[in-house]
Amino acid sequence: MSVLIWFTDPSNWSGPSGIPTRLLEQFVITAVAVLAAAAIALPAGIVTGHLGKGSAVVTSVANLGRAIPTFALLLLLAAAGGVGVSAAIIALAIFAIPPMLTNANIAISGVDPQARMAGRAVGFTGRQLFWQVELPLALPLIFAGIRTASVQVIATATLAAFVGGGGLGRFILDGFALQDTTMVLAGVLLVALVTMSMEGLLALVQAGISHRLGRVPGRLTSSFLRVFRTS
Amino acid sequence: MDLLTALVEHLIITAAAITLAVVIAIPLAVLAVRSRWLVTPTLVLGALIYTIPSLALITGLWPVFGLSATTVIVALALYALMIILRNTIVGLQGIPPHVHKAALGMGYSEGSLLVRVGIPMALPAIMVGIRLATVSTVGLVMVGALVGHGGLGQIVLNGFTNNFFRAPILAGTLLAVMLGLILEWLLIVLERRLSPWAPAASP
Amino acid sequence: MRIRLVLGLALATAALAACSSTSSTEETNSLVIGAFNFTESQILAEVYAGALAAKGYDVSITASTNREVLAPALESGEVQMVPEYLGTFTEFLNIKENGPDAAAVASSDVEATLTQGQALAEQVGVTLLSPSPAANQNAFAVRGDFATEFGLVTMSDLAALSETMDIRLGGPPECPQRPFCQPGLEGTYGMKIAEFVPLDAGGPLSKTALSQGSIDVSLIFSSDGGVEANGFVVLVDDLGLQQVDNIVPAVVSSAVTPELTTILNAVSAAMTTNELIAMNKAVDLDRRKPADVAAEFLAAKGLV
Repeated sequence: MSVLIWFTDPSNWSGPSGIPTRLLEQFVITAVAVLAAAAIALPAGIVTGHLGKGSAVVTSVANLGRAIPTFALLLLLAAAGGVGVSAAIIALAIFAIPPMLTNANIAISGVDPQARMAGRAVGFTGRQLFWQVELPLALPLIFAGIRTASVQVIATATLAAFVGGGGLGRFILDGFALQDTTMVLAGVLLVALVTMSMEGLLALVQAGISHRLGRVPGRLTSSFLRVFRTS
Repeated sequence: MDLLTALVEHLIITAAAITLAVVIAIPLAVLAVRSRWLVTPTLVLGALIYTIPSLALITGLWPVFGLSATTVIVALALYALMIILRNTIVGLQGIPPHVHKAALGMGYSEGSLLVRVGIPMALPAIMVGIRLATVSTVGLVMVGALVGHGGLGQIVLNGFTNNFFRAPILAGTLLAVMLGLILEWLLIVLERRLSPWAPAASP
Repeated sequence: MRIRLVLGLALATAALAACSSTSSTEETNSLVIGAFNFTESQILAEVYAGALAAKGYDVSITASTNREVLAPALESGEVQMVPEYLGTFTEFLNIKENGPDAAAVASSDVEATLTQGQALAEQVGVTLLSPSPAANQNAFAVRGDFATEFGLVTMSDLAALSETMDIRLGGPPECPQRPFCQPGLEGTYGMKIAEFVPLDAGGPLSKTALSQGSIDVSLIFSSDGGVEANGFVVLVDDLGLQQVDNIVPAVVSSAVTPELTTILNAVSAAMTTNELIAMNKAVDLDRRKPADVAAEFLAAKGLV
């Protein structure tokens, strides 16, 4: 197929519009967005879960986050003065907060009360209880939230091309503008591969974490469909 | 394009995509559960499609359907299909064994059992699926602006290309968010009416 | 049963949606106008649409990205009319039909270009009507302070500068393939483009990138209403790379009728470049709606 020919063309693998550059752009955007979101969502989720307060706020934020179309948010931010990569990163970070926030909150608040009681019985202080009992038990679910967010973000980072932010979406948009179906399909293929690889890789990490720290009963739903498409 | 036309187009595309998804998902789910080996491949295929971002799927279908609303509808139907299919399968697989045996005893075949008994029992799960799919679809329609049929997304994109005119970008976004919330609320009400025996569920 | 009712309603909705999403071109008084994704094209589409609507036509406007997407839609009849640009469209058809190395047939002569354009268009079932006096050439702009610092007035000046300095070009994704865009700069002017950044066709993305300094030179429209406001300097096309780009309605031949031709030509004849710039400014800077600005223009010219 012509798509395969496109992939074997060396000119598509070099230069500022080549596959490696675009892949790198997509990864960098994703990494920065997820890290920024994690820096906000994880502490917020963990603290509210630990204190047992503020879960209504958490639920509202998560619901609102689900309802905001990332595409529109992206254009809004770019129009407000952030053309290029920065608009994409901010929009994607906002997009990544709800799943990490919700998961962190439920993970900590849902820790088995028996485990807590056992910890207290052994004489743990509140702090020790948190770091040595709650957090390790919550880690698999917290990581599941990070995983969901990461896969969503790397897929949606494709939209960055809309606002001049580079990434794999460039192949799709440019191919569309040039009526070059081959480029479009190649771009689609690349995005699908990258997203699935990220999902697979993080699934392995998740399995490793769960294996070491014990499975969270019933919370880890099937690996399909934890990404919730709004863009 | 004015706001009202955009809103109407947005609603029509959402409705068409969800309808298409339901019409395919429910028979497909019955088929999959009936011939058990089909369940996993179907879900895996669906999950694979679901990882493709909407921009990619819509432009991927553009060579086939052209610059039309059909491109957007088919792409969004594929996403909605995944959610509704999964929920329907889970719902159908949740028929209690004693109900299953009773129905067989009454003379139902496996197939008609799934349809006449399974689907009504799975209705709460199916409705949740339709609700999730609808909220998701409302957001996704906006990306269809690339092929000229993005509903409220068209207003947003037009504003963007017209020298970053923020008013329509905001207006389009807010309307889309509100539309999603209103549709979700309406579907919750519908959910309760169609299956009053089910506890008030949330995803 | 309830399920049957819901399913029945759903199927009815789907049927309705399917009906409304197909463009009905069977009625002769119904027309779909295609517009490119920049302000001016939308204004032009509204102007022509307004004039047709006043004469009883049922007009709708489809927004799309660019010529690569819209031209096939025009040829197939999916859209029936596009407000095109004479020189660029002629060369586009030329390359499509005669290959990428075809000699340019568009020139700085409107009549000659029109003849060539009409002949090429006929081959794909499209008719070019009469060109308007209003024109929008492709042009290239740099930041004002950049021009002052390096003494840039003409494109040749920039080409000379590109020998010693990295020049980043911003433009629409199709720029590297358009003869009057990047290939023209490199060929005719011998300019060295260090990097091409795909943005948009003289739209807000390119202009913002230029202002922010992420690119050094940007494609811009000669009819852009905000050049001064942004502090840009448009470089003079001293070697005459750009061809005549008068506005000309391109109509799919099957939809051409004498009445349609008269209406559209009347509109084209009434437009001047200055009026086009004013309309662009009204929408881009004063934030007025394209439909309103178009209606005002039509009323002032007595076309409604």
